[in-house]
Amino acid sequence: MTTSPAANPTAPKPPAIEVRGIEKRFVGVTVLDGVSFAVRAGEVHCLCGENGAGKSTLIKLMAGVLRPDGGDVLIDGQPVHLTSPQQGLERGIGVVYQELELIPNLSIMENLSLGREPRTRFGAVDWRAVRQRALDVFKLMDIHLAVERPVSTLTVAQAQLVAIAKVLAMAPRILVLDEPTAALSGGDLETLFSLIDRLKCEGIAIVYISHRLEEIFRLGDTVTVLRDGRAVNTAPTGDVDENQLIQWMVGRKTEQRFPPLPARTAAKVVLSVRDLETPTLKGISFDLHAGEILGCTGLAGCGHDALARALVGLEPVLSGTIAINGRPAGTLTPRRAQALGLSLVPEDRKGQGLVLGASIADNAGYSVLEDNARFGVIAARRLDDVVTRFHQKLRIRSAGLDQPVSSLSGGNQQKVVLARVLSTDPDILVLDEPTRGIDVGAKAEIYQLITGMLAQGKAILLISSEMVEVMALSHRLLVLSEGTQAALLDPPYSDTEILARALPASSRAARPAPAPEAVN
Amino acid sequence: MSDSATTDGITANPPAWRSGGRFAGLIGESRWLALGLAVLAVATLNPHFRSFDNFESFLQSIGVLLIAAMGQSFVLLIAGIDLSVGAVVAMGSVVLAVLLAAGWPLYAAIAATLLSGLAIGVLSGASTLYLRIPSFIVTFAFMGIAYAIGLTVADGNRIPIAANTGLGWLVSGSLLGVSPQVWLALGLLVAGTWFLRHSRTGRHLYAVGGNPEAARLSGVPVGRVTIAAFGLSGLFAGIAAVVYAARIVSGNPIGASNLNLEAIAAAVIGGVSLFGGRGTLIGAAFGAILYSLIANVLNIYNVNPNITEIAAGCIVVLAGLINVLTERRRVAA
Repeated sequence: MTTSPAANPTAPKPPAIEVRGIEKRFVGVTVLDGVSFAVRAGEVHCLCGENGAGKSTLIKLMAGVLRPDGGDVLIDGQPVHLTSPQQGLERGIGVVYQELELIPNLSIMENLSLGREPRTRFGAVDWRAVRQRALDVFKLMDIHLAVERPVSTLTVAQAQLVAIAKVLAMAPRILVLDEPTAALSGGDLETLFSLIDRLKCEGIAIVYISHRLEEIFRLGDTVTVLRDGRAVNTAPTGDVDENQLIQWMVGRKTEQRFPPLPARTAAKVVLSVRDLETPTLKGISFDLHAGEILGCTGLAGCGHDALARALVGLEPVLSGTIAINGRPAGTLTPRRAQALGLSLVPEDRKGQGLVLGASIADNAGYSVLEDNARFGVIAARRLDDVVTRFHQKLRIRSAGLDQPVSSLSGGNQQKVVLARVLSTDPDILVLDEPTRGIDVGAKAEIYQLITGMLAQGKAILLISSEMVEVMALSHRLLVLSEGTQAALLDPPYSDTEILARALPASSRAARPAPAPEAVN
Repeated sequence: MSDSATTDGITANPPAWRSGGRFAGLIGESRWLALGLAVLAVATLNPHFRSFDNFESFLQSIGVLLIAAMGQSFVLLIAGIDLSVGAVVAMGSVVLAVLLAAGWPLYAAIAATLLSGLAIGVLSGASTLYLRIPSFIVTFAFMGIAYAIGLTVADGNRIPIAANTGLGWLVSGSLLGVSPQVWLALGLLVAGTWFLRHSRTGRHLYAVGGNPEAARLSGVPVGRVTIAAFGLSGLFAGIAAVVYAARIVSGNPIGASNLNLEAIAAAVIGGVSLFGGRGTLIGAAFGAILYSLIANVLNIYNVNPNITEIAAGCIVVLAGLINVLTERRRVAA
């Protein structure tokens, strides 16, 4: 042990928090393998890495939610053995998790004091103090929300700020933020960034996790890249650039992100939508041709997810027509849409696309059980053949067909959904946010699968809020704005034009075309 | 932070501990109150209902359901369900009758009855917590166990309670002109409401029901809260058992068989969510009164009491449906 800093003022102060050679295994699978990094007081240390690199596990170990199988967590140079999140909090570690840890039906102020409610001398919750605590932290954060509002009435962005407030109310010395900007945009983003700058000045050690590389350069002093449970590199953010980071993250030479888009071939219209109106959409008309990718994008809340739902009957159609393969669709259900040749890859992979506890084989086979059954008895061998074929074709990386999908990475889970959908041999695929939450490497593979489908004459409606994605992969591009069809564009696309079209009509008139960098 | 700094920008808001908590429950129940008044209006058209005898018997009959519905609410709040309430009431009535017959003093026998209810509740809570079995299965099992205990102790018979034990006063006596068990239920309502609104554990029931994982990560002792909820349900069932025994002046090992359904119906009618995290004891009490009113009216019109139970079942399904629909709207919003 070194001498304490108090006894020897010339010795450098130990880092506020440090992990040394930390290891974690879940049922034999190594999730973290000897990760080390240190964060000093007043430093913003960014962690980045693909999904499944071990970031979430790492912060849970730091917070005391999980216990490491090897290595040490050190606070102010002293090893600590945290066995519960409460102990982590007592040591000054505050974690803002990605899933907002809020109770929807309780008020903001009660959420901020949850688990450590101040009490009056009679043992009752001291509401005055609860409220005061909330007002104090809101003032610090410069948030203007009534503290008695139930959390269920907040927008996702507001809830995100409240989740951060909740942790800050505990006055942590070490603050861990896990993808805090996933739900934020515009002004909220700036509020958060300036708050982080202020906290940094107050000497708080900050661990910042984000997929958005530009934020790492905006906020971070140091960045550590995790890959497959190892810390592959740590560097001052000034010494690296985006390409370098991406290379560290994927661990191989970054190929060009998007595959070339094959030229359109056949001209047969397979999906025809006319004057579609639903509770959230109005006046949507387009044709989709075989062998074509029609992109669809817009700002959050523009209704592109409603379009996907309407096409399989999950959103009521008020007026207008949908024709699939030349036949009027009538009242759609997912089952009927599939019978007509249209299948949806839903936005919420885990909630809507998969049966998480079931195996790859089961999940991939669900849509074709009836086609591979005789008198209601499943023809196991025939179904196996189908599933195996797609398992190989889509290069799903797994220990075998019996592996539960819950244990797969996001990218491989998405491939299982694609396998299930493709097994029905649809003519039209509606892909709703097909690459949301999956890592860079897997994204590239999904892109290749998408363009590969064109060769088989499939028609694809690619719905995505990632503008670069639809720009690179669409033969034509449908832009939605506030539920209406703002434009149907032909390439070459310009991100400024797309954004200008996507902005609500009121703000479009009021401001000039935004600068291109806003698109990133 | 200085005192002056705290009011900036937010002065327009009313103080939270008044606007948020205290009256929100009452206002939320106003629709049930309106419905209750409507039933009352219909009922008063019938001379039998207005008769003093009927009103007195109505008040005498309501205590058990009121107390059981409040107890059930604690478990519903953490998104669980307690199917053993009726069985615990039956078992408790037998325990009380047997101990009184054995010559135990009244208060000791009552204390033992309450403890037996509490014990079943705590065991249910511990089983869901440590064995991670869903509460409807655990309490379903404890329902069978509690009935079996009652039957064993009573040897399958109904055990009469002697008049000289003084237990009967609880129901047929009078305190300030009202049956004492009504005061008992009212006292429990006030205490339980204070507990839910102003005690840490009470608030934590809402948190655990609203989002158990978030509650755990926030440092809420989820285990203790779970056991508290089931323990309270068991304790309230024990109290209801004492009132029940006083009403039927005996211990009945197969009694209170409809109470489960009625208590859940009452709580859900009163706005306690089947999905946890939402509801008040005042709501549950309103639900119990409303349910009893309906049953009473049907009774006056000479409807077969078994049909009343069909109505109770339909009410649970209907209230459950409303519950699901409101929850869905809430999610959509």
